[in-house]
Amino acid sequence: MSRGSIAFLAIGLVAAALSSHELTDARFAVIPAVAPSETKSAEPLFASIDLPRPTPTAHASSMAFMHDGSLLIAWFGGTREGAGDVAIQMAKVKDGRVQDSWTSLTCDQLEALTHRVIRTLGNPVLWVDTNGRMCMCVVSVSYGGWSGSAVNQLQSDDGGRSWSKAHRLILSPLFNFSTLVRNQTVAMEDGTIGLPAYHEFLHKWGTWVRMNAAGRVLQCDRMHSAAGEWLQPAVAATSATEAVAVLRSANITEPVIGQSATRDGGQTWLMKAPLDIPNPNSSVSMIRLADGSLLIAANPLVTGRNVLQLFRSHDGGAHWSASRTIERGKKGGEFSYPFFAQSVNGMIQLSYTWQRKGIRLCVFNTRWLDTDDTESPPMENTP
Amino acid sequence: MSVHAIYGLVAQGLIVATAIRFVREIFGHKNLARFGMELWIPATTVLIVPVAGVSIAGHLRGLWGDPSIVTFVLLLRYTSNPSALPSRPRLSTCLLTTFFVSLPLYLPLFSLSPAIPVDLYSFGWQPKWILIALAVIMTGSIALRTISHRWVNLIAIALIAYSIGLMESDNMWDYLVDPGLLFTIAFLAIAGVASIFRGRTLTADSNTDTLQGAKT
Repeated sequence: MSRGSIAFLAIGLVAAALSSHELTDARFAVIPAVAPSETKSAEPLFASIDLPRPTPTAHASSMAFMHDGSLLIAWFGGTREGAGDVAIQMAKVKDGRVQDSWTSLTCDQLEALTHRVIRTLGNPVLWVDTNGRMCMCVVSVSYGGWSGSAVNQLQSDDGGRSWSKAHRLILSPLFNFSTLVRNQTVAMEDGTIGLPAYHEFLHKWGTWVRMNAAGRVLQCDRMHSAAGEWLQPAVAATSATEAVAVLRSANITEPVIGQSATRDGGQTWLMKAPLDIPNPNSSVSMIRLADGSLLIAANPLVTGRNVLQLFRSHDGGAHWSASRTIERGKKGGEFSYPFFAQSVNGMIQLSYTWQRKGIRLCVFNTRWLDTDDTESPPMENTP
Repeated sequence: MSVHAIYGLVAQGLIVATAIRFVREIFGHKNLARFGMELWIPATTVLIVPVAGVSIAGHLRGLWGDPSIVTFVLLLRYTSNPSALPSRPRLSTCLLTTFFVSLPLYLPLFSLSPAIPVDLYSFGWQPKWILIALAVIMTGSIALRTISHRWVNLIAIALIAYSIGLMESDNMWDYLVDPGLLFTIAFLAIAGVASIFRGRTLTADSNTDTLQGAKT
């Protein structure tokens, strides 16, 4: 063995050690809860608007507030789910009105950015980083179905009109098969981002991905170890080190919302007893409101997605009670894939898939949540 | 174009060139030129010629992703000069790699983690323990003279590539191994074990034959 080889190896070991990004303390960036009396406005407020429909089908919306207070909403739309013409559509909403909408990302554009074939696009997840840049993770498929998909991360300096610095997130050792995203990111105190993701190939489970501002993956761990088919985690931090996650159920024998929790800032997750809320293998969204309560939007049915209802917890997810019903349609209808955001003035934004034809945005306050749900929403109030 | 994309696309061209060389050697063309025109042309074609708007290399990247640095260097050496390859790993190395790397990396993906409770891939994001293990294993192998300098250089190249972020992945495992490399090592392990058993069986058979022959 030559001394040159030994020295070369030593240089490699030292260089690799120096370039490793050590994880800092895992602490969620949690805004202190405001007393309920301060967040309640005098009147219950509720409004809904339908976003433009440039494509025959639309699904899986995601939202993020820009620093100017406008709300950007992204979803995927095309002739049908999985088609080659599916693109990421975006709309900008401000002061309760749609100001603009555009096609934000096509398969061809993502192919050019990532230098690999892209057959179709899927769920987008938007967030704004600490520098005010719009970031997006988007699911793409090169070959096969959704279980063969991967996640791409992109950045935009012009509010989602064009994308740059795209790269593929490599999250699996076996050909990077089958990693997807659906729900919103969670900000960490050190400026890193927690991204709830999930795996679909053969078995389904949630994963917790932590990335720095440059998009470098620092951690990717399973969110639970218990048996069962759970996916699409939605995470809400309840303190600097504690968070709860609710998960879509793909279990035929246990069609209820799954639950996982962490007490160490997301470094380890433990599966908890599922919630007593039915889930028809449909996406769930969760948010921690300004008053500290947790709010879930889900389809509380064993089969079908024709009812979209809210559930609220005032004790960090230990107990949940039914709240307002957002949509109640005929059997076969679909009001699914909800996504939450809350503005600085406390107004709650909820976007969701409306009959697979479009995206509907509801805006309401906590006072509206507190009022009785005595009047059921009209059946499929066609826009 | 990013350095990640350049690496990934060139690697696909190299895979195609390797496949051509391998197939031609199987059919008896042992004296191919060192990375001659018959390999350069298809490799370049893969990089340049688009199919449905994307280069063939882009299609291959979409299919199986980018190979590890170790695989890349092995393919490069094989394609340019097969005699420059490191010596074939010992059976014990193949078996240890299969049991302590391949299975803990891939079995958790099939939800067989209770059988192997460690998700080895997760160690690659903060590779302190991988580096310590590598330092111990390589030091021991060098001291016992059980490893050639070519393998040591290969590991060093992969570590330096990780330090400069040559690949898309941020996980150190993706610089060291990939499914193609590990499946090949597992195949060598299985073939090695099978040959041992076949040898024993042949010995037993020959003994039987001898005994039967003595009876007659």
